[in-house]
Amino acid sequence: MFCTVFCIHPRGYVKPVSNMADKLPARLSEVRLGQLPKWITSCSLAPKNVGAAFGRAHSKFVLKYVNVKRGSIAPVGMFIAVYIGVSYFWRYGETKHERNRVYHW
Amino acid sequence: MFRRVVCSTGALALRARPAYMARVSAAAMPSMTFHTSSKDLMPYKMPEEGGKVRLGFIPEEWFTFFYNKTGVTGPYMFGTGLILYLINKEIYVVSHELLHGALIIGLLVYGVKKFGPAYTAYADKTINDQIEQTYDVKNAQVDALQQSIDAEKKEQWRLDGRNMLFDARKENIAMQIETAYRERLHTVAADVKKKMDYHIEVENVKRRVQQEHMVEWIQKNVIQSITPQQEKENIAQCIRDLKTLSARA
Repeated sequence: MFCTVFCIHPRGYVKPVSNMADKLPARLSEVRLGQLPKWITSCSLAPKNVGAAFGRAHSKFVLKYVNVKRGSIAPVGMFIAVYIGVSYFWRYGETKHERNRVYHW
Repeated sequence: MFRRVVCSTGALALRARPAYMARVSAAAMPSMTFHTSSKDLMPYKMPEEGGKVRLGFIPEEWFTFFYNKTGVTGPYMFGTGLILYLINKEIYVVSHELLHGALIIGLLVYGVKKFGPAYTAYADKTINDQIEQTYDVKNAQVDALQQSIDAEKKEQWRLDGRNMLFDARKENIAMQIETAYRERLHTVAADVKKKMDYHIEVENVKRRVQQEHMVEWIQKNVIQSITPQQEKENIAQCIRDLKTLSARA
């Protein structure tokens, strides 16, 4: 969905390249601990880049779990899990009233 | 399960759209990659197996990430602790929804485990049939082209044979020419010999005729020179010789 609007990725999607002048890498796993605050604050919140981030995540997921010859239950299972989690999260305000106990320690 | 269908249609849908059809907004990004390198022209091979998951939705990488520190049961302990914490503090409220969810998920798991392999076999067979059909078409074309190549090579080989045929004919004709030449040499020699024999014969005939003429003339003259008186004496002498001879014998 975001992928179609912001960039077409899969078909062997390449790794993201950092377009920053100084030595901050593009992946979180390659960032050193001291550079972490700088890395976090260096992300841009422009909708173009946010959409591009969604596109990258979607491409990564699709390349890993969908564009394979022998697929698994992973996409369906993850979809169901996220559905359950997000719907419970949105309904927590009402579910709070159905608690069985008042005090939890 | 629609994993095969998702697989094929997702891959097809994502692959069918070329890069230049992606721009919807005018403010599209400049980091678009047009497929210009030769690596993009190669057919893309999908990997065999996808990412592995445990329990259907937890990626395997999370388990291996903690393996060094906590061993095999680490993530399961973490999950159990998390669940117990959520239930204890009633962040997750146990209600009728839990029963609904458990039954539905149990039914789904049972359905997948029971009918999964059969559908997998059917989907694999369908896809493999399509692939085989495509390969059959390609192989048929390749075979037809190979046959035409072989036919062409054979025609070229035949032409080479024709060159040899020409050479043989040339040799034949050369031999005939040689034979005719030698025949004519023989004819010339025979004719020349004939002419020279003729001259020799002419000389021989001349000499013979001269000789015969001379002998006749000499005979004639000698016979003319014999007078009749000499002839009588000769005859008498011959008779006396004969008598003496008969007397002796």
